Amino acid sequence: MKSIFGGVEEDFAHSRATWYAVMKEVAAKEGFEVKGEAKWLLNDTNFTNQAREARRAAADIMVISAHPFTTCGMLKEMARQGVAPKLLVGLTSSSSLETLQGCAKEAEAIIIPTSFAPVTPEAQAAADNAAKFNGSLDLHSAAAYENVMILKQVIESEGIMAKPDTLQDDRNKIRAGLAKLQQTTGLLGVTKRTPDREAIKPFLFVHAKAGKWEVLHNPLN
Amino acid sequence: MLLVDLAQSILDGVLFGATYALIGIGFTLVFGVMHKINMAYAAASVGGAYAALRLITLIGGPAWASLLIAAAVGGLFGLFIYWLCFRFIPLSNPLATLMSTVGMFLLAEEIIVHTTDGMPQNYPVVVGGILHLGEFMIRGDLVFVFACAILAMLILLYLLYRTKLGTATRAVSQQPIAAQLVGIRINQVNALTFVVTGMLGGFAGALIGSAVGLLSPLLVVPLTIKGLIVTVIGGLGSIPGAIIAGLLVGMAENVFQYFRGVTERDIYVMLLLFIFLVFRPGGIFSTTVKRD
Repeated sequence: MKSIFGGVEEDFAHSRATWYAVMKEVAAKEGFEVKGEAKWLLNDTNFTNQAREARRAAADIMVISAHPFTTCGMLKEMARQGVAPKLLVGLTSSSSLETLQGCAKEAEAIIIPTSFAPVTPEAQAAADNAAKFNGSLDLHSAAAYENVMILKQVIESEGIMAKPDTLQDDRNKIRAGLAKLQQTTGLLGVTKRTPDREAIKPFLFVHAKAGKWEVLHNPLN
Repeated sequence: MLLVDLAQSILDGVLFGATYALIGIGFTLVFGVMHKINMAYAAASVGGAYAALRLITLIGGPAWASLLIAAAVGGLFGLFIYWLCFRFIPLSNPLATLMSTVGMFLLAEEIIVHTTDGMPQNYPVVVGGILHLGEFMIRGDLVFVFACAILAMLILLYLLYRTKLGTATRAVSQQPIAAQLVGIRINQVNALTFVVTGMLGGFAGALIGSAVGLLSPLLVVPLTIKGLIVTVIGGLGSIPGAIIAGLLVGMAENVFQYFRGVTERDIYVMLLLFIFLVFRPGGIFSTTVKRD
């Protein structure tokens, strides 16, 4: 596979940044021929022009950097126009149940790098707990779960009293406790922090198979 | 290739514009009868499609049945909106019904979000297939939507100009007091208008779901905006105008996107609206420029 074409949700910051600042740049550096990109907006419903651009580009790899609603819209239009790249790659935030609810058939085989899949005993237990309440643990809700657990850890380690007269003191302690953290334990392992507090999380690759997300590659192993 | 792509863009845009036309007809019909804008119209239309999809998923059945179920549910929603947002609200205050329907719009959107967890729902294909004509591709489902828009226009025009209900509706629209004096029940006529437009809306919502392939709360705002643009360009109260304006807006979107890109597309569509507001405020089929 030598060429790549992008599809990008132009009015959403992280969709744009993922394609323009990460995937497109890295693809060119790695020797892929970047054949351009088709653009659309978050609420768009008509993808005829964009799918035609993808068809004309006839790239080996198609990357869709968009949310599930428009990812599905574009995939459906690509299917109508017979656009069939050798490899289909999606945006992290599309590796959720939403994409499969919207277009499981068209999304079949799409590969997405993600920060969550139930690949550890802790992650499996959390996913099972969510399922008990008809929920689906995905990269978004797993991150929320981890955040709550981080707060729990800080509350316990900083000796938060949670009494009316310790309120201000408790707030300060929580802030200080969070600022002190250099790394935390997440569902997939250790999450480290950059100097400007960005998280560096363990990740893996999933792909859509028969209406489910399956782990394709797990660098943790 | 440039000309082929441009022609294909125009064709795709016109056909997709049929979905805007269907929503525009609903907006314009309510305005034509009551001189009010029902801001909840597109939300209720998408709501009808959601209800139909839920029912079809639960009890099974062919995809086309969802169109009929959506129409029936849309009719009920229409009646509900009339009772809640118009019936007991002073119609003399132009802002009152506008705000009540904005409230209903937000409520409908919230109900959709809460009942579906905001997840996009796959909508089955009602009419599929693609017709290949050399380099050109014509989507069967959009041709079906187009045909439905024309059929809806003919049925509504028949209802308005060839039936007693239509005569009563036009009488209420033109002279409500005189209509009352000759024994026409204004509230009943208004309620029936909302049921009819609601049925059309539900049907349109299901068709749009099928054409897009998905239902999502994200559909509500763009459809409302497109519906309003179509209503203004088509001329408030003009059903043929709504059809032509829907197709025109669909085409303009695709052509502007083709030439100027997606980020500039809506600027030009709004410019088109502005041009109509300035030079043809009565809409496409108005014979005179009526301005202060």
